[in-house]
Amino acid sequence: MNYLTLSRRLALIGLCLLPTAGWAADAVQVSDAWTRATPGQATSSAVYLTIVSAQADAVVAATTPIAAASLHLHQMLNGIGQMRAVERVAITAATPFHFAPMGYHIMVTGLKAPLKPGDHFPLTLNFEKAGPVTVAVTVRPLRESTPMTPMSGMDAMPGMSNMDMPK
Amino acid sequence: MTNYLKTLGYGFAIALFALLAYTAYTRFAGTASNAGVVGGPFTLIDQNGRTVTDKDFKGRWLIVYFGYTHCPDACPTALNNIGATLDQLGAKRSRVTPIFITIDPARDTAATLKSYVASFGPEFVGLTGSDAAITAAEQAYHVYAAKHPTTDGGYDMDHSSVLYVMDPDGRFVTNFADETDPATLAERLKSLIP
Ligand SMILES: [Cu+2]
Repeated sequence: MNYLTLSRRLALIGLCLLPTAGWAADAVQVSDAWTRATPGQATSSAVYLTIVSAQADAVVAATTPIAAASLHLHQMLNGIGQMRAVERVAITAATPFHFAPMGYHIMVTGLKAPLKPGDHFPLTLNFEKAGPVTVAVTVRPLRESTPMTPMSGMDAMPGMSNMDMPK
Repeated sequence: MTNYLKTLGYGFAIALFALLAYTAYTRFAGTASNAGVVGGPFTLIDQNGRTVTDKDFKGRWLIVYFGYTHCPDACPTALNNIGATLDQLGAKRSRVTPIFITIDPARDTAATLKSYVASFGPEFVGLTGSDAAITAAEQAYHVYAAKHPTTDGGYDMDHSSVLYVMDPDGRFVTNFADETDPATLAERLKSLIP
């Protein structure tokens, strides 16, 4: 085997790898990340977003440089609302999963400064398989922050996919 | 002998159930005398630090909601919905006062409530008070509230999340789930307010 053949082989391997690498980067899409402007002196807020993952995966942690962050689920049980930390949020393959009001949210606590409409801050989600994905969270005005809210969780019915938040 | 033990077991189970049911009933319904009645007299402190009672709101339609300012999801959703509802009431808006009563008086002082409620609309009233006064208000409205400790050493509140509509005589009219959409709420209020 001479040198030229080897380099050709390597180039071929490289060509095969490139699209694969591109696919891996797009394997998880996190979009429409937003939170509300903080009312009064509130130092916590809930971040909402939509996840589409090509493969079955799970969110296992969230971090942001501006505050402590954790995965939360809000549930109604017999008319009583309760918020609980969860360790893992499973994401079904190729199915939009919504973190949305009155369901799953990423709780940020101990904010050092109020969140003002139009602000942005980075938030990193850690996926079990895909690893870390960082998005910019948009701070929406308090009073216009929940225009049309998709149900939190995955789209159970196919017809519900058109409830995705507008860009 | 086996039958005797069985009967004893059933008897014990029934007694335990009755005790649990009674405990749950008294926790939710307060005293038996106000069972079934929502609302009633209260003496609390408003967002300006003034002592107010239910009588101060006579003559006004009220939307009463219990929550706490450290609540980032359910409470802002409910208060946003109330604010958006007011925006759709037209001329009848001036007859309605939205009231936010804290279930977390230890952290929600009058000063904390002042900037918090103002964020949702100019006519919002925020009420706090002593633990006893808040507990009395919770019982009057059949509101459940309990601390749930968090891993960071703080706490969240588990709580009933309901909007109560009271008429100008302070009588309960109807209630809505916290996530009822503002258009539905506004339509209902417009038909209720003459
Ligand atoms: Cu939370």
